Amino acid sequence: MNRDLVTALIGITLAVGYHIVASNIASGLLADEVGPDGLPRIYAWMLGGLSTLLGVRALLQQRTQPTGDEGEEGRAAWRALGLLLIACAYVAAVPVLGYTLTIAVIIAVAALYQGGRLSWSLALTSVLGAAALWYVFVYLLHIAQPEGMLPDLIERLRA
Amino acid sequence: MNEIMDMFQAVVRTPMIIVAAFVGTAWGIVGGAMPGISPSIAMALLLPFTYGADPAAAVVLLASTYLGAEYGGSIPAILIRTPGTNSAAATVLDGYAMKEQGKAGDALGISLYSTLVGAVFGVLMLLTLTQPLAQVALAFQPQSYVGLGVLGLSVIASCSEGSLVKGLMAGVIGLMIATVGTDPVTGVNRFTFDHPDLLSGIPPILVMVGVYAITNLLEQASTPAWVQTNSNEARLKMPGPLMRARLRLSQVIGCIIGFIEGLTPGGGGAISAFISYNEARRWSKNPEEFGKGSPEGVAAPEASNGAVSATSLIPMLGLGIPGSNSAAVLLGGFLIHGMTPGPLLFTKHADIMSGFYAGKVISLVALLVLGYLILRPCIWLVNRPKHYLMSFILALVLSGVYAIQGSLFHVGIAIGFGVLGYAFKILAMPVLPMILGVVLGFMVESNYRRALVLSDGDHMTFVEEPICAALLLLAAVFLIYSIVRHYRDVAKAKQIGLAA
Repeated sequence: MNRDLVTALIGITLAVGYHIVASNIASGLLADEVGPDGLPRIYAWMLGGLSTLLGVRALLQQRTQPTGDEGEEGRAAWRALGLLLIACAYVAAVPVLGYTLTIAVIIAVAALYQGGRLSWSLALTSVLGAAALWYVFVYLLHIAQPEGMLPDLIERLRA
Repeated sequence: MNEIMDMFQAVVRTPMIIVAAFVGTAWGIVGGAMPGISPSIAMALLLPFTYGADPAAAVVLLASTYLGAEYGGSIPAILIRTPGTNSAAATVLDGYAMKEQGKAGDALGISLYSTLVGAVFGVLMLLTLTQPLAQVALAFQPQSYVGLGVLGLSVIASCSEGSLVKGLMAGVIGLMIATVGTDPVTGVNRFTFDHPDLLSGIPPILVMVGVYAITNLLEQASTPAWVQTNSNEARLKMPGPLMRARLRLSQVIGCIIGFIEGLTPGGGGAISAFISYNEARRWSKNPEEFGKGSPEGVAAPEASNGAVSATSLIPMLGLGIPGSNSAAVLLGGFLIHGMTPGPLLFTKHADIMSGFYAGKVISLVALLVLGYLILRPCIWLVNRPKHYLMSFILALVLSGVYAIQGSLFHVGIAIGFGVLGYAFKILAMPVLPMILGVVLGFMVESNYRRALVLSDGDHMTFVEEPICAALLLLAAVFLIYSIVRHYRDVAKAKQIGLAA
């Protein structure tokens, strides 16, 4: 399908969804003339209108527009999805494993995913990378990072 | 004279400004030298670090990164024919040709010298023009802010990169994002879905880190490793007196075009560099040398890039309107520290602004020193395996976003915006209009409704208030001009296509 048409469909869906949520915003006792839902509704109509315009134009130009290399783009998107999952795994794992361990694992896994090989240099890079980040954030800048449940769990097991 | 004293006092008060100027410039050179890391991405990666820093040092760090990245982008452009940044694309033409002739060191020297000349000129313009612009804006009423916001949003038309409709759509999406959180007038929750982390809205910094840094990481996941540079070729040679005389005209051209394009929203970067290159060729005594290793062909775009790195900050600082990605990220840096660029910045935060100006001047010295010193370490770093560099940058971004407010929910939001930015790339939607919407949306809505409350709901108040009326008129003129220019460019492109 034409890229602009896809954009238009996504835009219309977003506009409709946003308008539905905006319509359910409570007015409140201090409501002014415009109200808390006033501008959001206008934005929804604007996005809907622009998306429709884009969609109509895409339909009219569908035959004349050249299509991109969809296979290549699809492969790139799958590669990106893999990295995205690694980033999401960090969010899920860090409250359990704690910052230093999780970030070391993330560096190693992301490097492996992007073409690195299992080696001593990979292990060293991930350990040194995690140590460097811990040093900068926690030690130097005094910014606490998640400690995780693992240290607590080990402590309990010891007790 | 007073300004110079203020700047000096600011440095004495906050010596961290010096460190920030040097660190920012160094990181900018390294980041800019990595193909795919634009100045705005290099700056976005630093944003989380600025959270706990002194406000003056934080904004100096970001602005210095911008300057460093403008020079850094020319290093791979000259050595491996791959521009590190978009704006270094014009430098490839003659820079790489010089390298092929065994003059890589001369090309790097000309690039550093010309960036510096452009940056000195740009900083002078920044010091001269920003404050008067902001002083005009001191008489602003709520209505005037609405006019200013609309003027800022009219910039969307010129930042739309190809499709005007898509640019406007991106802008509206940005405005929608800005409505998340507590309503500015009634205090009612909007689009928060009962999540306490959303009550204060979505911080623009998360949007910027997401759409610039995380999107770039997602893109890099599927691009091949960049070509390695031979560090033996990188012995920087500064131009001698004869060469400096030869470069003068092309540098003046680069400075003037960089100044004009820097002030024009959406006009800086690659456009400015290529126009400067073209004009330098037109005015050169040796136009036939262009494309075959002309030193002027390196000097003009680099001088322009240096000038843009300062002049593109003038509308952002004076009016709060970011006209480029890098200016938008710098604006994010100001917002993190509770400073809103625009009319009141110079009165509310005069000391910090003196520090900022001092930092801009120090970063010029830093560029000269570090341009010499860190070329080899920079090439060494860029030559590290790409998978290590990118995985470390991912870890840095995830750690940095958490550091902003100690919230994993915020890390999730930034990742979400990374995905949105990636979708924008696939759908060929420009990102900058969305950023403009996010940054200006709250200001426009809160002042629009406040002005209506003050005027008992009379919309004529926006036309009757002279500053607002003038700004709205300016926005209309700018919008019409941008639309006409857009369709003229489309028609021209079609004509060229037919002729080919």
